[in-house]
Amino acid sequence: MSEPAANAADSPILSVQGLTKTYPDADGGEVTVLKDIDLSLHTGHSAAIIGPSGCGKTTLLNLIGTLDTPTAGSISIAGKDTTSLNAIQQADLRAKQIGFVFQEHHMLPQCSALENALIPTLAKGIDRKGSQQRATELLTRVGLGDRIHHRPDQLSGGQRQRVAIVRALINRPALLLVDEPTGALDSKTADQIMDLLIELNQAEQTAMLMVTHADTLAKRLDQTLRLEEGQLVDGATA
Amino acid sequence: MTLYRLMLQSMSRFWRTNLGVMLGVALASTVITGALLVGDSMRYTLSQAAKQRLGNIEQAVIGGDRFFTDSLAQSFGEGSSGVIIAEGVASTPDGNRRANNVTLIGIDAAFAGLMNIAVLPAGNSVLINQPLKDQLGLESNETFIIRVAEPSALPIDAALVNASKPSLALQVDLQDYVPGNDEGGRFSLRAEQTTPLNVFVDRNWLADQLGQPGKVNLALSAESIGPFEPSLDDLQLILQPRGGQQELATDRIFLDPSIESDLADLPGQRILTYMVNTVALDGNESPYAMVTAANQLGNLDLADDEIAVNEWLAEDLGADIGDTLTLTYFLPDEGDRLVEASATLTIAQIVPLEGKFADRTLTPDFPGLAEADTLSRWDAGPAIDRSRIRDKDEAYWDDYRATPKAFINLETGQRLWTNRFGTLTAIRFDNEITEEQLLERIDAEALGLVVTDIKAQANAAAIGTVDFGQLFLSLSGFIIIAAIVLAVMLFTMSAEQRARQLGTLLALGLTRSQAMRLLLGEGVIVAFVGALLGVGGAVAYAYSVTNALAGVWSGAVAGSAVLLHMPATTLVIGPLVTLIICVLAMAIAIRGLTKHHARELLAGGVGKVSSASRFSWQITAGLAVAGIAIALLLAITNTQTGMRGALFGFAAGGVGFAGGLLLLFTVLIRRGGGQSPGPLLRWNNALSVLNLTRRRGRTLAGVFMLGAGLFLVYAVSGFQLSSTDDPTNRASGTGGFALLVETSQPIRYDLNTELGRDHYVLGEDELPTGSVVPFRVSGGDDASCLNLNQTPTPRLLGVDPALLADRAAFRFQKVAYKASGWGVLNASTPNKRGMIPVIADANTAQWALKIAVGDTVTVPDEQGRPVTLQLVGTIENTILQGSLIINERDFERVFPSTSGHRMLLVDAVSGQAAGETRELLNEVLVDEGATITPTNERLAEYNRVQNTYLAVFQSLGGLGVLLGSLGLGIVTARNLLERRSELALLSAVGLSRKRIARIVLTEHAVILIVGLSLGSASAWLATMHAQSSSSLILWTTALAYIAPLLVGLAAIVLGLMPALSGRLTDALRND
Repeated sequence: MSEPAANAADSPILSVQGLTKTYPDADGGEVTVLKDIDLSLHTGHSAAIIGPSGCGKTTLLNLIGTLDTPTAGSISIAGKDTTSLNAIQQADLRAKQIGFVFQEHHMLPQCSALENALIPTLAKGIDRKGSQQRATELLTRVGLGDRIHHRPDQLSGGQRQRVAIVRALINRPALLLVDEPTGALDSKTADQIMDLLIELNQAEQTAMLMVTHADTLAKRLDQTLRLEEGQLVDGATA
Repeated sequence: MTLYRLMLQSMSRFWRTNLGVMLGVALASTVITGALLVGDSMRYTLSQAAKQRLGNIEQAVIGGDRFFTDSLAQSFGEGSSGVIIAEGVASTPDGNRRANNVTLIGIDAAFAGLMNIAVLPAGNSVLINQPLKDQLGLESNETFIIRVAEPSALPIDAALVNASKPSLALQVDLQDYVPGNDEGGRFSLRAEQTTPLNVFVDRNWLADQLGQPGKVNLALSAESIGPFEPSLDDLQLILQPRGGQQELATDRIFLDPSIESDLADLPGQRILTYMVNTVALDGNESPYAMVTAANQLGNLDLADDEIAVNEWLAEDLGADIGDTLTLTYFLPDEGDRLVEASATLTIAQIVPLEGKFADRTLTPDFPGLAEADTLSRWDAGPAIDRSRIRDKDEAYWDDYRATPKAFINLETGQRLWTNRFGTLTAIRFDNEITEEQLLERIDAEALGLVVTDIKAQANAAAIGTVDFGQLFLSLSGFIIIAAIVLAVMLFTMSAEQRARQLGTLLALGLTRSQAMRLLLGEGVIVAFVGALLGVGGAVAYAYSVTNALAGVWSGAVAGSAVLLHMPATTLVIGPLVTLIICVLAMAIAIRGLTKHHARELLAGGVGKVSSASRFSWQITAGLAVAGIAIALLLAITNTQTGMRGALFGFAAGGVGFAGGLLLLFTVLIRRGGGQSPGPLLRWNNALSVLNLTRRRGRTLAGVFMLGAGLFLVYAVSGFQLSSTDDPTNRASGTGGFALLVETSQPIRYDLNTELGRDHYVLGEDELPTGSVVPFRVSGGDDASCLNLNQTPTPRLLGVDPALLADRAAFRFQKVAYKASGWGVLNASTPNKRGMIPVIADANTAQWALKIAVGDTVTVPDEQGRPVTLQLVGTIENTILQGSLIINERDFERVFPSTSGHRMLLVDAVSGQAAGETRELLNEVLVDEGATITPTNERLAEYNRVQNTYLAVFQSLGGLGVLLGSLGLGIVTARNLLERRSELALLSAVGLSRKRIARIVLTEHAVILIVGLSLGSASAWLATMHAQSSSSLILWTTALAYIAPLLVGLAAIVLGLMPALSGRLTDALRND
């Protein structure tokens, strides 16, 4: 476990204030999914957001990851207010500052494990020098050294998720957003993936925000936040 | 890792889809490039024909009926040639074999050089070209006859000309054949692709036979003709001493109007002498007297209403000064119509028959006048009634010949006798004048010596009336659309299937433009390869079409052979255009995809399920029922015929199709759109219906594409033109006439008159008075759909509009102003804006001349001066295609020298079969080279062109519909592979493979069957009005339904197989 206190005085890498998200409903009214959320996360720190299905966990993660637009409030990543950025700037932010790990890992079937890991380096403004070596090292580190040229359909679910983790870290992001990383995995593989995430988070000195509904996994992170009825309730800190 | 590498890997991964896209693009490229090659081939064919018909000739001076000296032709540069060209009729001596519209060409060695003719004809031995050889079936050295009109100084329309003079029969021997292509056999001045019937004869021999030694009427040059200096002889002018002065006269009797104005500054005596039929005074008559009008004659000073008579005439009539005479005369340019007019003048002076008043040279040399030893023997045709000639008249003739018996002032003379041929008969100059001084003043161009850039005209004409490239692009439109839609649909489906990938890329930091480039780049590479592959197919397409145009589709090109031509530029442009179209279509198709949020794309919900409709099903159902009811009503009550019936029917079919589509939409929104299917699930094929409704847009698009394709392709059957309708119907395309007569030589007499019938020995019962409408014909080009060349100078027909108006002949499509029908040609001439009103067949106006009512077209008049014609009316689909019809009066003004009628429309004669009338006219008009065609046959000839276009459209469109059906199978396969996990789920929950197959087969077959049924039912409505006359339509529509249905079902079944093969449940385990 890292020492969050050491970085506590620094500016948070992620700062969310008054975040609200509503959707129109079928009757012409509105459904408030998230309401007045405040949240901050520092480099090297990790936090889990837990809550029942449909409580808005993934929506929160998508909003922070600039994959969705908030109705109100602000989100700041590495000092940049993401709500004021245009689409190109948001893409740039995602490429350089954010690493995504999806529940369904979303591999490109036509690419090998190595190539999938390198996909974020295709983004504009990324220095690709040494990226292949880094991808190989990371894949080796996650136990896929002998699988780097395998395609997704030649890998197990856990192996695909490891490739997804490497892909998320390839551009050395400041913030790692992880959405139900073990949802489709057995408990043993889930534990291995969690170990890997925590280890890499420490090693790469990123801030990690994970969405999960598994309390056991959440407790392994620095902080647990509970999302109830669209509002964030402080949970136990590890 | 680079975007390019990722692109290539995606291409490789999704090779099946990409192969489909590539084949679709290749097919589109095949048809687009192939159609352009057909256009190139047609232009190449026409330009080759232009080269072959003109050889090395660049420019020409076309004299027509005006002959000029060969030395003038030789002065146009090295290798220039003087030629005599005349239209005639060729026949074997027994008359059993005959060829009309033969061109007799008197040539010299220079012409042979210009046209690459290897041998020269000598004496009366002639060369003929292949088509004439084929038509007459002549053997070498065989003798045959060519009849041509003997050149006349005065057009036969002039009074005092014996129009009944027989044509000249030339007996010639066949020396050799001239091959048709590059060896001169196709020589022609007309921009028509058909090879003329040519006879090449020694020019000098021909000139002698025509009484024109040393003269030609056509000069040809291989280079540009610069300024030239004609002699008076070239202008058919004569400067001779007369009455102590120098006199300018002409072989043509009347000096052209331009001469009078050109020489206005030269002082002298202007003379106009003409013959009056009768001079009458108080019951006394003196027949046939020449009367001279002059601006100065001795000491005569006559007022406008005064006349001076000589002593002989005064005595003959018992006239004295102050008496009032009546002069009766034929209007000079009414020809055999012999229209008489009269004038009343007061005798102001009686002059002695001596001195200036006994000058017989005041009378021009009317044809036959000089040879007549008695007045009775003057062969002036019907103008002279010999029974009226008295002994004293002959005695005057013996003593004084045609010396004028009376004199009037010039203004009065010109008021009475100015005609389209001229305003004076001579000018006598007060001062010495030289030929050079005259030539300096005379505008030779105004007398017809105009240089024509015939090579440039031929090249312009060879562009063609119809751009066959565009035409075949249009006719192949369905194949092109089907191929592109198929390619783009496969590409889009592939892109949609990769929506999650796209979302992943966006989530990982790639911009939308990068994602778009990645997807589209893949499409560009695939389309590029496909477009290149299409080049090979294009060559095959062009080869097939040009062959078909020589065979089954020959009606579209009037039987002309089309040479395949493949320029490299088209082989580049065709695929490039295809590539651009396909890539643009792909970009538009996937544009929406990249607009989605990465979140939506990651969720994979793009383009999947239709939301609930905003439309009320009750309203759409009401509209659908109303539409179908209106369509039925329109179709049942459609009693119109021809184009109107077809348009009306097409509207009925269109409304029916829209109503049917709306009904389907109603069913889809009623059964689907997110609503619970409820009891539907109890139905065996509930899942099929659910699948149809959950992608409502795709279902409707599939039905629309197939249905609209079938409807459009087969509804055009209603536009098939029929010539089997009652040809006696005045409103039909035949105008109600039975026969169309076209002649090589002008018909000199009006067959509606007793005189005309007498000449041709026709009884009133054989050809009743008023059963013929004669047309004057100019020398322009045929602008009908049978001529593929562009026709900058279309043929003009001059007609008395009253003859057509009285019959209410032909149906007008549009008239410019509030005059009824043919009356528009009676607008003041020329109309207020100086333009001559003209009527044209609607097809000729629209397609050949590309003008609409109100537009103008400029044609050269007889002197080559531009004349502006304004289209004031169009007539629907008639036998008058290819020409512009103007008032005969306007025609005579524009083409004063074009005499006689060369086209007749003949009414059916009561109690006589059209065949009998045809036989009769064939006999009596043999010298004129009459080609007599039943009007319904001629109409069918024109209709064949449009009907062939429609047949081509239907054939190619039918292939497009088949391709669409086939495409449905390919899309099925792709769609089911995409939904393989869904099928796996059905298998997992216990549905048998057979049951699953039935569900998906039903789902796709419904689109096919509903689309085809809707299309064929609408086509049936559209053609209902024509079905009684064509049972073919029923069978065509039935075939059109069954063929794509079978192909489509087979394609769907084949499409199912890959998705249902192997262990379906494996799909559940795969990501």
